[in-house]
Amino acid sequence: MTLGRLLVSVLAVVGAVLLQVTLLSRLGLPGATPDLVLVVVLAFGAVRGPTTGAGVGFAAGLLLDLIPPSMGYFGLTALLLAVAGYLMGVVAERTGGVVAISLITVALISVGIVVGRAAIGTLLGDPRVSWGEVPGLALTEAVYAVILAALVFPALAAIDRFLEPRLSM
Amino acid sequence: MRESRRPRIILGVLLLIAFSFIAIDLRADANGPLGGVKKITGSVLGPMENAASSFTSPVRGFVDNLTSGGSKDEQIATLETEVQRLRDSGASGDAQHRMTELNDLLRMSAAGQYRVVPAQVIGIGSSQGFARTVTLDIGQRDGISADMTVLALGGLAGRVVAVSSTSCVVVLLVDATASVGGRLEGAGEIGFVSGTGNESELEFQLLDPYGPLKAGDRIVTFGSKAGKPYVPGVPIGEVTEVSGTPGQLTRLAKVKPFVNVSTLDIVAVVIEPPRDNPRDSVLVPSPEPTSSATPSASATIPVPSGSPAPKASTSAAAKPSVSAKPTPTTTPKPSAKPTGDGASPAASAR
Repeated sequence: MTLGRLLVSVLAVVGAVLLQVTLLSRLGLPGATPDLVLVVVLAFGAVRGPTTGAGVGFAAGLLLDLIPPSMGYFGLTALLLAVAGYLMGVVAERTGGVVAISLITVALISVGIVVGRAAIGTLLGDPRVSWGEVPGLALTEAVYAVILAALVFPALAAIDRFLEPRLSM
Repeated sequence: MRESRRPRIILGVLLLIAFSFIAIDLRADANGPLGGVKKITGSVLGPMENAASSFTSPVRGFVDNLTSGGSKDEQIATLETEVQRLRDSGASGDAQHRMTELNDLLRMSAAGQYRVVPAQVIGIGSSQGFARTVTLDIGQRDGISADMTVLALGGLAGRVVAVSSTSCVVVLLVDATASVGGRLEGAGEIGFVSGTGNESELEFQLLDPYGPLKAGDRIVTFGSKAGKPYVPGVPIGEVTEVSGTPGQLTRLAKVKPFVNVSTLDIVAVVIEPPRDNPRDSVLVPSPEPTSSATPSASATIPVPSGSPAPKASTSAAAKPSVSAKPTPTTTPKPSAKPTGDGASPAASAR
């Protein structure tokens, strides 16, 4: 990974985390907060492969766990996003980045993130987890994620092509 | 083969690290190593969040206007009054609106003789994390410490749980872990108000199984020992539905909070509890519910004529700049430690 590509990932992750906490969560949209951070992590997985996906997911998750007003278990978001970035990378590698399959994968991983967070929260004894909300949250999370992915995935692919025309897929 | 194994090994290592973080977090309390890490990162990330928040605020206002409910006619009426108000004042709409909100909030604080520091919400946690928490743009250097009461327009918003030098984290009353001792207006019957995780619903549990309880009753905070984490007399909400009959072991009621947390913007942190319990004086005297979040409705909150002029309102309300953070004029910290308050009714009921 070159310096340019590293810089792009750092900027994208920090920007997405700040936007999510200060803007997206305050829009008052129904259901889940649009998970821009998840979509950015998935984009890195899809464009740069499972290793980068897992690494970026882990870093972005740690940042989300640390930034106030996060109250969840420290490391939980890192865990979920690392798995998400890895899975997206594997699927993209095997299918060659077909748009329809990518978007379906984004939707499935979004549902998995919401259910996975609720399940681990329940296992760890988090009194806040309410399973009644999970279906609505999972559905809206998936819808928002697919919409955001349609914007973020091509943008990251274009940036990588611009930085290093020979290396990108 | 090597290409397909390397990512898996890396993922495995990352998961192992994440699991150990979670394990450490499960065992640690706020004073543990992770609390320290969070405090330091909070001091770094808080200002970044603050800057990002002011950068994104025009977008928020735009979307708020689009998504705020009501029919077309209502929206047009709202916009017309807004335009008229702007013509009258000549000030910028956002600033004017926030001035009004801050003024009303300070008037409410004055009615309860709470000494407050105004603050602004700069970040909100994602709803898929289930916690209902917000970040404020004030921290330790503004005199804030953990377990201080947070007021918003209409009444109680929540309490401070974590503080860094320039920001603090507030757990809202609607969070599923929040619980506060509540007292019925007038009657003096007490019970517990708990958050449900749902933004428009709280749960009230009356302690006396034969106590009078009916829809429309209003609830104020009972107050904790030394005002931590909750000062007395703050309006909480209005009973909407009572379940269970008199005499049953527990009597539960649904309560609609006076504070609309989905539009939370300007709040006030109580840095010094009132000397005397304000009882019901902070509540709006009319029997009409005050739950509507419009500034005009709560502008009618009276200041008791006999009460001494509260310092917070006179000093801070005179300042034209809303986003400015007035520094507390006194040393605010009561000697009580912000840790547990087992004797108080506001201690967690769960």
